[in-house]
Amino acid sequence: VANSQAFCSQAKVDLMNGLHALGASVIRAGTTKDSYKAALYLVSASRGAGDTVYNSTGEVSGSGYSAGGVAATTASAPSLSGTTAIFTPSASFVYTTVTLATAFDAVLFYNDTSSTKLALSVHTFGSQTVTAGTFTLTMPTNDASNALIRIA
Amino acid sequence: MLITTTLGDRDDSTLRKTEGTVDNDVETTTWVEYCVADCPGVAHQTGRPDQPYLFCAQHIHRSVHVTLKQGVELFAVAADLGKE
Repeated sequence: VANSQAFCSQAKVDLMNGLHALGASVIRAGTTKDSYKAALYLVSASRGAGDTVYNSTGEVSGSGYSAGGVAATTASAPSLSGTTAIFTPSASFVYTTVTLATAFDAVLFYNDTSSTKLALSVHTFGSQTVTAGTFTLTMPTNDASNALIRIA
Repeated sequence: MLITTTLGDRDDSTLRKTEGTVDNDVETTTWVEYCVADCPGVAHQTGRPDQPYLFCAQHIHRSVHVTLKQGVELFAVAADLGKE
């Protein structure tokens, strides 16, 4: 079989697991996975690819909502689906009994273990408000086409 | 069933309930609003939402469930070295 250039599939998962450090890295306290959180942002917040860390500017505020958002459940480790590395939190993000009167349309998924709260991804949806109610953000199917985080 | 509202807990039989669904390439979203039974909100008469992100501006409860259809993707490409 002829040789072929490739980004090795397992390396995509290894990247997700922090096993490569092609630049300066950090001293980790152990081998356990990091904790992640999900923060909601106002329509006017300008969150996106330029984000590097969690930022409270433009974050929603209101009764029942704590700055920084809610903890994400990450029971399922990154995996390979074909040649695509995939990761999706294993439970919905649920903001219970909140009042968020100003329209919001984005969630920042970020590393709560890192000292700087490194940003990982931003996901958008239609503008919403919540009044004395619950906002639930359910994750997409964890497969090669839809997973929340994919390296193809 | 008791509903948490801005006026305190209320039995849903005493409230006016409005529900909606949005389904597009990005999400499937369902929402529910409760108003007082005799809510004077114009939206109830016209059927047109008061705002794009809510139905009746005088609601006393609104909950939303968004299901994302797709996350984000990074394309990993290895450089082709030395080939012509």
